[in-house]
Amino acid sequence: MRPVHLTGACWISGGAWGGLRHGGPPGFVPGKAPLPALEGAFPKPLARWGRFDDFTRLGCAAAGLALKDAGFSALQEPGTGMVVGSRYETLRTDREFNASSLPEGGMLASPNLFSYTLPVIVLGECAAGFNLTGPAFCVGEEGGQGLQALRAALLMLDSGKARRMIAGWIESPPGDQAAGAVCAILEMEPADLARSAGLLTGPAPHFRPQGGGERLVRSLSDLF
Amino acid sequence: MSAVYITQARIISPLGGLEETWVGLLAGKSAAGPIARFNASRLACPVAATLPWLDRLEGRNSIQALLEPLLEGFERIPSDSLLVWTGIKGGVQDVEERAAGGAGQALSLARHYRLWIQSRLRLKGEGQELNAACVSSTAGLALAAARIAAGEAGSALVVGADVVSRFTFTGFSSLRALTSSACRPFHAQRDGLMLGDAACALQLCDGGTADRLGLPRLARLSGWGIANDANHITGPARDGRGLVLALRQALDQAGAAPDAIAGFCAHGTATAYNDAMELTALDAVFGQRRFPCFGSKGSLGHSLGAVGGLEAALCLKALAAGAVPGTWGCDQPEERALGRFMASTQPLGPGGLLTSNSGFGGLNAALLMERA
Repeated sequence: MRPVHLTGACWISGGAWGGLRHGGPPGFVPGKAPLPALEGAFPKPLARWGRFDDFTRLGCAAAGLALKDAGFSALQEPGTGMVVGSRYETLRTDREFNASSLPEGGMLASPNLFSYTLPVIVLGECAAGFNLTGPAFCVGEEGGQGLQALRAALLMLDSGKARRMIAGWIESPPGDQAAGAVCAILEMEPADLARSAGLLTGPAPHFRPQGGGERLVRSLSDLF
Repeated sequence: MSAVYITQARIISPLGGLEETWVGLLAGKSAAGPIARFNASRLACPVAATLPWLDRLEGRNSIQALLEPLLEGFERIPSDSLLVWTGIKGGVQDVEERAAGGAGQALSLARHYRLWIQSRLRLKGEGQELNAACVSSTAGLALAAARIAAGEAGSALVVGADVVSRFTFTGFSSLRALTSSACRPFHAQRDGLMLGDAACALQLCDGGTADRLGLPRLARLSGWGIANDANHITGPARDGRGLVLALRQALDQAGAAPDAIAGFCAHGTATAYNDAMELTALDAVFGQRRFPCFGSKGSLGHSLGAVGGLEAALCLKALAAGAVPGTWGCDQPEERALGRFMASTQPLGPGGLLTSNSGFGGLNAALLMERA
């Protein structure tokens, strides 16, 4: 598998966030995610932001901040895709939607909530907001916080279906478990090699940072 | 890169197994009927293509109940096969039951179903859950093919299943996407989709693995594409740009010119916007050339995470038979569908057969299948 450049990344969790070039290493803790410093993260305002469920909001914020970290304000050329991993997907939104309709007869279900019961809606919102026209799908994660998404993204790049991929992990679980998101920007041929933080190879992902050394990647957090 | 072949295919549709479904489609049957599974009496036109025996499960998991006969006696799946699970809403039964004060289901998350299938088939290889809305099993087949082509696996099994639930029915109804009359893909007066129950399981192998297992090469999966509209989360791009990209990716990978395509299996949900978008994409990729096209959803309904695999299995039958079935309800095609879609069977000449699906999130995926 051909090596791929890591050019940007962002993580968000309860009360904190960071990127490759600022903030500390990821730490996923319970609490409301701050969704901080979004100015400049989106090339144009996301018109539906106010309608997003937490899952979509986390994913869009992490993707936008990761693109910003990689030096993009907007993507002009086609061929950027996105793969997101999650364990609980949209379970919280599923429960909210199910409660929105009358028990007998099925009336009054929320059309807005129904859309967000699909985890791929975050991909659609990111695609529309950032002009992502490449491969897009969600994968299940057992505990690797984005490992399966990273593997799938590397495969899409190696098979020539995309020139750039966003590999992400989003978790907005029910109860008091920690919510969070991570997104990493992967590029076959970055326009500015100075933006490369290191090289990734697959299929079992290894990361070789610019400073030297090589490590096995078990989750997207290992890229920071 | 290894060539990838489809070596086994099973489905359960509202018309039966693969053979019964194929015969039913050729005979112009539709499984549409009133919903008895839940109370949808206050919604317009509560019609779907369901399996009546799934109405009487008394608390059993409906996805498991559908998968059990699908997987029964499934042989020659090596234990190190990759398993890709593409059912997308298996968890809603658990959500519905807990909301009603019940205990819920033991299987609720996608990985629960994947692990259950692996255990049932004694598979010890890698597993993967993939959710891409209505594109799920199409994208699952593409992902499995990519991993086989890259030499990461010799055999992969892609399994998907979804059933008509109160959850999904009320959701599509709230979006006003359901038909108020009958599901008629590409008809001039089409007015919406119909949901359906279905399950699919398709095995992909490289040539060496297929030969070692003594499996037939039912078709070569010679190209695939996945692309996004970058337009809207529930509505397709009017210019079909995502589907155009996906179709062209599949053609390019196979080294096939548009003229080499003999037939097309459309997503054909029978919503006004989806079918118009597909016709626009066909015009963009194939120009004014007309060749046999068909859609299954007037007969079988839309089975969400299973539908791409189900339609790929129907394409295997079409390639073997040298014919594509009629598109149920398409007795008066819209103008741009004339010469493409019709209600009766059409002969399929030599060449490849494309199948594609499009879904929420702006997703599109296409597969190019050729006689091996």
